[in-house]
Amino acid sequence: MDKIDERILIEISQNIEICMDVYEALAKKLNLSEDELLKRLKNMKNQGVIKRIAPVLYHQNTEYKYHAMTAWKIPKNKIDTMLYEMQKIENISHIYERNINKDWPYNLFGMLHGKEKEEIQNIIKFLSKKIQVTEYTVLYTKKQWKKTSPNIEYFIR
Amino acid sequence: MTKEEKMILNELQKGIPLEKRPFLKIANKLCLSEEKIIRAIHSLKKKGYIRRFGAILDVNQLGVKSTLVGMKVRGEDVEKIANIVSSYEGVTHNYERDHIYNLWFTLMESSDERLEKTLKEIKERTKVEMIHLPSEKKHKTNVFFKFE
Repeated sequence: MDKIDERILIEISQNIEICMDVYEALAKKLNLSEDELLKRLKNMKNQGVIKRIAPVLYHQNTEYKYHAMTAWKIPKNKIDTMLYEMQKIENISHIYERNINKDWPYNLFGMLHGKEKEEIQNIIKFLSKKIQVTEYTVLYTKKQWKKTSPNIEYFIR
Repeated sequence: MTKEEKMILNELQKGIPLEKRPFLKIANKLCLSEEKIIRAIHSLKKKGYIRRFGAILDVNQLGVKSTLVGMKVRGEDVEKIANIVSSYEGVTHNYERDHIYNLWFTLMESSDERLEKTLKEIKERTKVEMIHLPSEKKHKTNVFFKFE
């Protein structure tokens, strides 16, 4: 990662202009050749800095109206099976293991998205039964106060 | 969304190729024209389905530290507290949830020290009970909405 990569990241983490030669337009803005830009993008993709270039949705405007954060108390010996089952379900994004503390016994988190509330309830029922875990908590989204992509400039300055 | 837009959006969410004329590749895959893909993106943006078209980064790879915080806020204070939390640049997500811990936010900062500093400041400003749940291990961070 050098200064040029940083400039690229700042640019592409915003809203890029959509046209046929999308990378050429971007390269021009950055004063690079298209080949150079693509080479650097591929590099950063391989390093895992760039996950992908894709549309980010306003999910509340789509038919997915229900969102819930679920938190599970999963014993160590069941973690792998639980993760395996969760990863298979398309409605689950953002699976994290987190530290527990005295006020929070749940160590595994998964975000669930559904077109109907029932869809979410069914997934929870399925997982609970499959893994034989009854200690979990469900936190439906009531209101989104803020959702934004990280401001790269703020972090690398 | 039209049937065609749904099909296009499903494909685009996987990420566009890092090659010249990426939409041509996608067009060929879906047996549509390149113009159609581009027009659909503009239309989906205009209709408010696409918030942003760009790179999705793993900021932790850039050394960024992140955490999740849950707060127990009194009902009448939610808006005030939510606004304080949202005012921080490092707060990327801030959601009210149906739970005794009713306000949840993610915080990212460029170092552990900055993370601690911001958390301390939020705690002092809001005087709200909060739980701090740093992530131990990330297993999946992709959202994929399948439109049918």
